[in-house]
Amino acid sequence: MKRIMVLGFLFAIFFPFEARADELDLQKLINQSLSGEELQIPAGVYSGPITIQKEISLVGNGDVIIEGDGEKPIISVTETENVKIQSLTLHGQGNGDGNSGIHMKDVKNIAIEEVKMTNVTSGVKAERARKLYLSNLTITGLSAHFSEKGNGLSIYDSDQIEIYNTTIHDVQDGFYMERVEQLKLVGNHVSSSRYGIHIMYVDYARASDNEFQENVTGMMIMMTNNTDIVHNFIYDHQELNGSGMILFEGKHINIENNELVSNTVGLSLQSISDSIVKNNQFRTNQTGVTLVKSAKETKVTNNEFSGNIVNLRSDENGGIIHRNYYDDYQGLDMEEDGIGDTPYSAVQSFGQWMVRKPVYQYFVEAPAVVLLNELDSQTKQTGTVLIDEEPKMSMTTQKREDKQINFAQLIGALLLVLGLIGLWRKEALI
Amino acid sequence: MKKFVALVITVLLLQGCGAKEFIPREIVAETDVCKVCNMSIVHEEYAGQVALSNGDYEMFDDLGCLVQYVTTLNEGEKGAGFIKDATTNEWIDVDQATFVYHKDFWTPMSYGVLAFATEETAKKWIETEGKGEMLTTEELATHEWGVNK
Amino acid sequence: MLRSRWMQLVALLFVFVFASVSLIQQMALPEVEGFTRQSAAALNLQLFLLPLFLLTIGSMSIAGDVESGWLSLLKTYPITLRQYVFGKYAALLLSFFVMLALSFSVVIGTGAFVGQLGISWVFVVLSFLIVLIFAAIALLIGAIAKSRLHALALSLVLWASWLLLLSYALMAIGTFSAGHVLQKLLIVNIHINPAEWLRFGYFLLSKQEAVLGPAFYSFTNFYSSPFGLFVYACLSVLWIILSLGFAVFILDRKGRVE
Repeated sequence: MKRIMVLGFLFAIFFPFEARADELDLQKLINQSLSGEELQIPAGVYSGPITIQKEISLVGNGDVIIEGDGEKPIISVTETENVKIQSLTLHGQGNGDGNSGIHMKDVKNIAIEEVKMTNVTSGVKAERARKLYLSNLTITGLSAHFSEKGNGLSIYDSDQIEIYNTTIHDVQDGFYMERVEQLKLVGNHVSSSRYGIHIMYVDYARASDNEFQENVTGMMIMMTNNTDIVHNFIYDHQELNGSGMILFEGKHINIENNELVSNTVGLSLQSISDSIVKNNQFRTNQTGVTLVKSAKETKVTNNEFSGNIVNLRSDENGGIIHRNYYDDYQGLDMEEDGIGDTPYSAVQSFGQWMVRKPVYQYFVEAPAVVLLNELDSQTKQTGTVLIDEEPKMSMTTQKREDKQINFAQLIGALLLVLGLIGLWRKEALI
Repeated sequence: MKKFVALVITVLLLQGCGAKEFIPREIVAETDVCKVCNMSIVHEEYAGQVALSNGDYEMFDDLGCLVQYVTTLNEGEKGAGFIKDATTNEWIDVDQATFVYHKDFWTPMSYGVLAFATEETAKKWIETEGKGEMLTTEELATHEWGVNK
Repeated sequence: MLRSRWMQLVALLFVFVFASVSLIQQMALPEVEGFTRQSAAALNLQLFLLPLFLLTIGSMSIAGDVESGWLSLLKTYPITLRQYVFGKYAALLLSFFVMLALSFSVVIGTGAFVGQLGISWVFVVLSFLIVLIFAAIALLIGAIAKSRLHALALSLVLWASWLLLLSYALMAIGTFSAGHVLQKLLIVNIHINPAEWLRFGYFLLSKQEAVLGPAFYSFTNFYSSPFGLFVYACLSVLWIILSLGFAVFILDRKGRVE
């Protein structure tokens, strides 16, 4: 911990009178500091943009706000290494493309911690970075349609990226990663954006303990291999075309212990192979899981499906489903081994059509369709795709807490019933 | 009831005949998603669409998705394909366009293929960018998508 | 009308079925917002049962009066046909409203044990709207029918086509037609089919139009605007007024021809 109080010294020389923070030129301070130095910035409002091209630590001491000019990134870090940026607030201006928080290019070993960005079109952008450590960032975008906004955090052509406990809302894509290797996303929260995580051409990524809420789609993972998606909570993606998770073209993907609740589609797999979907919970989604061209070596097992309108659906290729729990399974377990005696067939007459033609969505749970599905299950008509030979009989996780009886509600209802019956009996009507 | 049946029949008949001229339709940012990769279309300047001969439209966020979709269609199903010109942001017919590829060109799917209305504008683009190779519509069909890591 | 045995039986059946289905669904599912299997089941139950009972009971009560000559007798009284039809309508509404209120309070009562309210206001409003519209249609069918049996047959045919057959026909058409054709037919169906109209109304009022899918984006966008909601209300009232008006007109003509 090398700590030099440069500022106290500078104050004495340059500012004999009471200094107002905005008169301090941050850029000058950075230029004057030595390589590897830690610069403590006193509380106040400063004007950006600033550029960093040397080894340095910028640490806010109290409430430090740096304002952007709306045209250039508030902080640019280029062609350097070992930079730390900590405890700052970056405040953007306007809604142009240039209004961004931190921009890094050709850098190595950078840590950004406890930085808050508000009113920015895009938050952090990095190109050709190696060893990035980002934690406890807060990024708040603009209020506009997502097609007019930038990304919260975008990283291109980089490797060894770690992002922890970052909160992002009101941007286009919360995390946008393109051609990145060894990516770690832990404990982040993205809401009210287009995609929570948008990953393309990434190898060895791990996303765990993240939370995604009310975006168009929680996780959009495309053309990536060797990905672990573990213990994320993804809920309320209910817009048109909304989904909890969409995976498009990929191999060796492990989706485990996630909770997908109240999304238009919980999980959608397209052209995914050699992957596994295990121990996840799909609750009250319109459609739990959709499988398109994902029948090859991809297994959906030990998951729980409850309260979804359609639990699983697929294209004609089907998919491998094994030992999941389905709340609409109607078979019995005479052997009492916890596994249903008859196979579960996930495809209802109607479920297939919804995948092929979007217009059929209109019939979702319509009276006519409900009757059709009922007939299907009564006549034991099973499809040829999407069959679980060993459906589980019970959920492993029981989340329901004990409910108290609401006496006021009960008494109110009882009085109403008695009143109505009395009215009826007295033949006061007609 | 009878009227309804009659209406259904007329609509179906009308759909069967009539001159076929395909025109591109507007993008609805709120609902249009790529048919192939499911991504919503926010970068309209790279978008594509296929007008099917039955009157339906399919939208695409990237030329690569469009080409991959067209290969799955049966004979006669495709009415026309449209893609945005990289310089003018206008819809142009895919079958008459010229394409330029370089792995560094950014497109929504990072496929790196841009479309141009004429060969001249394509050549000019290559000159100003200092990189890229020209592709014809036929070469597009055999182009390998998504391997430009 | 509430005194009739038939009506009491129907009420009992309805309350029982409705309460038990709601209860089973409540026990099985966590409480969440949005269009879930629970709300879908409740909605479908209303859409199946209410029109069936309304159409048969309503139409047979008028057709019965015609058949038995009671209506001819009534005409000699100082009472206009309009008053007669309106009286029938009011009676039908009242008895079904009591029945609905009864079943809702039973569901709310059982909900007290499970710790949920169990019913949303949209659902309550929609149930009453179903009664308002289908009661009027029932009287129209009764006026058209020649006898009680004829009324029963007509009601059942219409009920089956509105709830099931039209949907199946459209789904079948969709298998070979283009998506945009099916989409247009479905929009036509919403406007000529009271059951679909009411189902659509449920999504509209509960602001869940997205459930119908992206293909209906511009259509639902129109109806969910304040002006669209006004149009929805107007068309709903039109269903009622036209049905009742035609019922009066037909009964009037019947009287003169005889």
